[in-house]
Amino acid sequence: MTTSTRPSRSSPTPSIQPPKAPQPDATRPTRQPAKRKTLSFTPPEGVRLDFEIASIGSRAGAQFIDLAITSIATIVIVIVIGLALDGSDNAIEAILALLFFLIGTPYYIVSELMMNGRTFGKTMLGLRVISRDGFGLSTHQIVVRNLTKEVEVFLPVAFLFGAAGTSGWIVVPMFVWIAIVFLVPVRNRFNQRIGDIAAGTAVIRDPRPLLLPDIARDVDAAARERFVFTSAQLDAYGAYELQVLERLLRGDGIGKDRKESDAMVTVGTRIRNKIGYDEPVSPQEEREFLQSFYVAQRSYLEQKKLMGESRTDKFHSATGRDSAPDPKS
Amino acid sequence: MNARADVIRSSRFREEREKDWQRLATIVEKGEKRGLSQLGYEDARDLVLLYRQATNSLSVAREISLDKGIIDYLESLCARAYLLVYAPGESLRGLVGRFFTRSAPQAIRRSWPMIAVAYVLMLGGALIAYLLTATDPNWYYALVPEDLAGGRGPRASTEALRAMLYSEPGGLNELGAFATSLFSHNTQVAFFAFALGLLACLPSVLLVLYNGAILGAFVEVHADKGLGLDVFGWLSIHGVTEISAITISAAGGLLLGYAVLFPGVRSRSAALRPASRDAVKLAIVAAVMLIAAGLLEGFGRQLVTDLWARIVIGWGIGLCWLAWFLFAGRGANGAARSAEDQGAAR
Repeated sequence: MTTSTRPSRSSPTPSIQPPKAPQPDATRPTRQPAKRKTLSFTPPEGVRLDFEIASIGSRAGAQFIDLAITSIATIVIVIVIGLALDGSDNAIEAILALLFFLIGTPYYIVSELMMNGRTFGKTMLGLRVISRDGFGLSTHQIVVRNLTKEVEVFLPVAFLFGAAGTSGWIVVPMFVWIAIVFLVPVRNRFNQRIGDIAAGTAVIRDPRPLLLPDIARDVDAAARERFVFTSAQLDAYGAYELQVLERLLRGDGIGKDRKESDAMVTVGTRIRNKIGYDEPVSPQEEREFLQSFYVAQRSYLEQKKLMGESRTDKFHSATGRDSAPDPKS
Repeated sequence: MNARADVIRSSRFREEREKDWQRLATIVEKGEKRGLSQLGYEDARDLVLLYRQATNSLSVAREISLDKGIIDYLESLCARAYLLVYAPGESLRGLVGRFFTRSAPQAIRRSWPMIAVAYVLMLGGALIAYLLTATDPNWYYALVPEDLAGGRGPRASTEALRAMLYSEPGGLNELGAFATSLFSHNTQVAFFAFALGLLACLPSVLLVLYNGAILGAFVEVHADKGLGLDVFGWLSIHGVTEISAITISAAGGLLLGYAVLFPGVRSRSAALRPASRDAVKLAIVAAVMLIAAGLLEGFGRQLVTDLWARIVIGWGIGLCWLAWFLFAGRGANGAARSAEDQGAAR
C-alpha cells in the first residue's frame, strides 16, 4: 500500500507536475500542485483511490458539535430524571457522573463503530474516519483513536474552561501540552492528531459523487461538420488546456464580473490565433466553435494517449521533435 | 449500444457504463442511510459487483479519457463505494459479546507476566509501607495524602476508626458515594498508570508502588489498633475488584512501556502496535472493573456492614473475575475463533 500526496502521472489533474527532464524555465511554467492535502491508497481491487483530507477547522467544528450535542443531551436527561426523582441531590450527582463518563470516550467509540467512522458532528460536516492502510476501519483503531481523545481533547478543553483545578505549577506544562496537541495535526501530512497516528487513521471529507453531463455529447453534428480541424491544428494543445476549456464550457472558472459569452469570445479568438484557424466565427457561433474544438481536441489527444503519447500540456513538443512553441500564447 | 462514428471513444465508454454507475450510486446512498444490513437481496448482491466494475471503469478512464468530469465522478463514486464495501461488518452486540467472551480474557492470559509484575509491585509497596509505619507511625503522614486520609490516622481513636469502617447506611447516599468513587483517586491512578506506561514503564511502576504504599500504611494504622480483620473486610468488598483493576491497567501501561524499552528488531512504533492491541483490551477490562468497584463501593460498602458478608462478597466477586480471566474463551473452538479474530483484526 503506498500513500502519497502527489498526483500520479496517470491522473490528469490541473496541477500537473513538470516532467523530470530539465526544462528551460521560460518555456514551461511550473504549476503549483493543489493546496488540498490528499490521502491515496490502493485497496485490494488494485485501483488507486484519492481521499481529500479534512481541514483542521472542519474537524474542530465537528468536535464542537459533538460536545454541544452530548452536553445538551446530558442536561435534558438530568432535568427529566431530576423532576422524576423529586430533586434528590445525591441521585442526580450519581447519574451525572455516569452520564459524564458515557458522553466521553464511549460516545465516540460507539457512534464511530455504528456509523462507519462518523459521529453526529462528523456526519453534519461531511467528515469520516478511515483507515490509512486501505483496509476497513477496525474496532481496535476506533478504540485507540478515541481513548487518546481523553488526554488530547477533553483534558485541554476542561482546562481551558477552568473545570480542572488550576494550581500554579500545572499551568505551564498544560499550555505546552495544548501547544503540542494543536501543532501535531497542523504539521502532519494528513492532519492526523496523535490518536490518529497511533491508530493509523485519518479524517477525510466524505466523497460526494456528482455526475456532470458529458460536454462532448452536447455538440450537434452540424456544428462538428461546420468546424473542422486539421491534426496540425490539434497539435497545439495538451490535456491541461483541454480541461481548462472543459471548465469554461461547464460554466465554472470564469471570473464573477465577466459574462460567459465574453469569456468564450476571448478564449475562442485566442485559440484561433494560436492554431491558425482562418475562417471567421461570429460571436453567436462561439460556443459551438469551442464545443467542436473541444470534441476534436479531446478525441485527438485521447487517440494519442492510446498510442502511448500522453500530452500533459501545450509544452509537450518542447521535449520532443518540434521547435519551441510561442510562450506568449 | 450506440456506436455512431461521430461519438468519440471516451463518450461511448461512458454511455455504455453510465447506467451501472448510477445504480451503484443509488445503492451506496441507500446503504449509507439505512445501513448495509438493510439492503435488499438484489442490492446487496449487485453492490460488490458494481463496485468492482466501477473501479475497473476508473482505472480505464484514467488511461483513455481526458474528460475531467467523468474521472472526478468515478473517483468520488469508487471512494464512497469503497467506504461502504469495507465498512466494519460487525454489529455492536456481536462486538461486545466477542470482547467479553473471548478477546478480553485471552488478552489477560497473554499478558499474565505483566499483571503478575504489577501485583508484586503493589503488594511489595504495601508490605514496605506496612513495615515502615509499624516502626514509626509518622510514615503514615508521609505516605497517605491528606484528602485521602479523611481524619483517619495513627492519632485517631479506635472507636473513631471503627465508626468509619461501619458507617450507617443513609438512603440514597450510596449513589453519591458511587459518583465520587467514579472520579476517585483510584480511577485517576488506574488511568495514569496506563497512559504513562508509555514513558518506559517507570511512571507506572512508581504509581503502583506508591498506591500499594498508601494501602499498606492504611492497613497498618488499623491493625495497630486491633482492627486488622475489620479493615480487611472493609477493603475486601470493593478493594479486591478495584485494586485488581489498578494492577491490570498498570499492566497495560507496562506492556506499552516494555515495547518502548525493548522493541527488538522492529522500530519502536512498529513494536508498539501489537503491544497496544492487548494493552487497550486491558485498559477496557480495567474500566469495566472500576465501574463495578464503584457500584460495590457505593452500595455494597454501606449496605453490607457485616464483616464476614463483606469478606465473602468481596472475594467472591474477585473469584468471579478470576474465573472469567482463566476460563472464558478457551477450548478448540475458542482458539480457532481467536485465530480468526487476529486475522480479522489484523
